[in-house]
Amino acid sequence: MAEPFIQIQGLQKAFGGKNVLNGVDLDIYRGEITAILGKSGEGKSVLLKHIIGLLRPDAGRILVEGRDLWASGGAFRKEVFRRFGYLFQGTALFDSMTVFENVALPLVERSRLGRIQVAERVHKVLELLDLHEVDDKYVSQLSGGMQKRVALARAMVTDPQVLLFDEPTTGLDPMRSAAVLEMIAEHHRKLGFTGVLVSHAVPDVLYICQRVAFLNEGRIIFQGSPQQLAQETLPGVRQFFRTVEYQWKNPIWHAAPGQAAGPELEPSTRG
Amino acid sequence: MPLAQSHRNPLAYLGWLVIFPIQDMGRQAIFFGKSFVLVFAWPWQFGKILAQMHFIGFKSLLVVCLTGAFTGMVLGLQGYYTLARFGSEGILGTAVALSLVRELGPVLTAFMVIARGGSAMAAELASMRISEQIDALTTMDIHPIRFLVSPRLVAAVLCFPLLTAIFDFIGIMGGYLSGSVLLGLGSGVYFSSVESGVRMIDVSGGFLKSLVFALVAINTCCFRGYFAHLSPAGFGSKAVALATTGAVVQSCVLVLFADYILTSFLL
Repeated sequence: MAEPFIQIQGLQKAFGGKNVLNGVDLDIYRGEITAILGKSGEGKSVLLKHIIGLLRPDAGRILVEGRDLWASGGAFRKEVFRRFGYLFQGTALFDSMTVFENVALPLVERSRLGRIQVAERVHKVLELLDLHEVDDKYVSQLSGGMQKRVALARAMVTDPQVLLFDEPTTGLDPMRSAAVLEMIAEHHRKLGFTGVLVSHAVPDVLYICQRVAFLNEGRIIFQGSPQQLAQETLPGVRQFFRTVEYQWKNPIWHAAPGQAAGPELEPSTRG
Repeated sequence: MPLAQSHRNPLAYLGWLVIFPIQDMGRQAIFFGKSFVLVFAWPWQFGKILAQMHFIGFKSLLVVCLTGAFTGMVLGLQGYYTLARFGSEGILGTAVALSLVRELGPVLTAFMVIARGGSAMAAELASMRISEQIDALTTMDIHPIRFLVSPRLVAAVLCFPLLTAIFDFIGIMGGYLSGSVLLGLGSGVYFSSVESGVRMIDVSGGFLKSLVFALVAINTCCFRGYFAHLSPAGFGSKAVALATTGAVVQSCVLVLFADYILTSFLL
């Protein structure tokens, strides 16, 4: 197997004396989408922030192409910031700027592109994400789903090699949620970026990723393909999927007598 | 150690009370150093500096003019009646002008800009911090201090002396209005007293103070907002409120402290 693009080794992090990550070991491979699953509050977003260098580990290492993120100096971390894109869970859009200004910001501040070229790039990515005639709108004037897509546009506008998605579908309706995941899969096929995706959108997210990691009690207890995950018998993993499966088969709406309550969980060819 | 945990142990709390302010001062000094050095980082941010000059300078103009006018008028009234007791009302112009140029001009201008602009800066940066907008800048390889703080610092350094000059001028005219127009002191007496009493060193000292106050006030307000998430007493929207209040109170106290230090050297 090829050398991992990003390696996380023995990562530990505590906040206020409470251990959040207790020695995470994870390999992320070039050109693949890796989904990080786990219960809420397990530290998935904290792990993602460590990968890009927003948080410094208490112990352990993060290697990007074999180089230690924190031992290789500030210039290397800047390089990582330039090569990575990050979609925040809460979008983190600049609410005092318009949609156009938000998406154009990394290009205006970092690239030497002229105004016309910046506008072309921004409009191209907005079109791709189905965002029409919203250039002049402020973030607060958009729906939650549109805000997510604008944040995605901002993360993608610089064509980063690695895209980190922190719950890209949270707060979206099921159709939009599926559309966003399909869009990520489609762009991954076209552009071939390396993706790390934290999500609760199980099982949908499993259709678009090539690898899955399962975070439980501050450690990665499973990493492998989605097919391997389906066969996994570890108690933490099975408990999580039993809950998902139960909710899917026994939804809170009541099925009419004689009707199935929900579709069976079958892997599809989607994505 | 966070405040909540240190409260459980009185000894730890005592230690926290000593260590936290020292850490805070160190952090503030480093923050100022970074924001100052990043002013000179290429490419220069002329557009952002102009926008901040509009916000700090132009939009503070009305409040500075009003404060200057009323301060000068009060000084004219108080000065006239006090000096008249000793038959010295002829030096009213000197008394009003020196009070304004040396002390009240720079200090009250700084207070007005802190109240109007500094509080807004602290609140804006604090809400950017808690909504992860500052982290977003970092992930885009845009230095947040260079992007958010350095243009404000330059704009303040350019605007504070200009606003102080306007405050002084309006204040002197306010003193003329109450002392000469209302109370009958000859206008020639008033203005010749202004001219003879104020020396160049008084004016340059006042401008030096306004430059220092600009750095102290804007750095403090931006620092409080930028590190709102480290506030030991509140999170979320409460952290924004505390950052704003802390910014105004701390920068006003620091301006008065700096005023005393500078005055003791200038006299």
